Amino acid sequence: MNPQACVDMPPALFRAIETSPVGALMRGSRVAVPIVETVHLLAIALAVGTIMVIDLSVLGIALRRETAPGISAELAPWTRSGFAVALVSGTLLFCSEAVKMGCKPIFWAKLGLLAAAFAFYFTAESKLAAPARPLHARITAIASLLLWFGVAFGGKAVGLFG
Amino acid sequence: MKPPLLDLFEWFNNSPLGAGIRASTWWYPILELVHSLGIIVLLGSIWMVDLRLLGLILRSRRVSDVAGRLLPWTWAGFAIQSASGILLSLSEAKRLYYIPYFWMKLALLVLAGLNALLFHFGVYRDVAKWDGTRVTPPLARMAGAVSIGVWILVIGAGRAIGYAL
Repeated sequence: MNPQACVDMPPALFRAIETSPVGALMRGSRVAVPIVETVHLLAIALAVGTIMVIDLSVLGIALRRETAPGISAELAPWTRSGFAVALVSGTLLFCSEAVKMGCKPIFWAKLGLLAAAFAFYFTAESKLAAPARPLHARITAIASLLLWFGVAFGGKAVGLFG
Repeated sequence: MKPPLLDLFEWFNNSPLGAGIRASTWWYPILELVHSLGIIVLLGSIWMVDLRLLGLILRSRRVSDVAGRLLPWTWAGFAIQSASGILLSLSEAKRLYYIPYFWMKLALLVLAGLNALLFHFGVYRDVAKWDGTRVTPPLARMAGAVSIGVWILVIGAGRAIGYAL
């Protein structure tokens, strides 16, 4: 559907989400969106920040490379807590303007990239804990960095464009 | 009489850089994108050091090793954030001058800097004595906690500026 037509005649689902009690609550307060967005950014910094430190360590340019698998396991609870908080806060932000967001192709592009990044994290990235071949591990780390910074880039771009 | 610094902020606002960024379609969004990615580099690295000081992660690794290897990334992130942040501010210096959260953010950044200075020239000078310990001295733990808290507030102040609260 073309984005303008979508905003003019929003799909019932987007409208229902936006007018839901949660959507109304988010829009009802001037500070709700900025506060939830702050939480969203902090959670992303934690999740992507921990992933970044692991990937840079695999590449040998942060913590000692040989310790990367152990660090990966140790930081996983922090990464996953960041994921959880970012998902909840992101859902709340979506509810606050579901029509505007849902009608932006760039928003769905970001979610698609996020799905790819999650799939990669829970498959390839988690195997970094196994003694992988060095070249294989490096490529995994670079792909992970590109995916996650791509998601963050996409998230900001949703706010700026479309 | 004009309020203090207003002349300076008007000059920033009208400077070729400030006016140029404002006039361009692409510079502002590009700088915003850079500013949002740079914060991940800054926070992702400094929080790991802070959490190590608090004894919450990487306990089996020496503090000096963690700090020595991760703080260069914090500095890289800080360089990205300063450059992009200054350019963004120049382009709307006149608006920012009147926003209390802008001044609050600057004050919080100074606080983050002071906390880091006190840590490095204080308890960290004797790091050799507690480098391998899981639980670091109270002053080191305090520096870690203050750093985490101040950076959370910096992000909050930044969002408050963006939403013109």
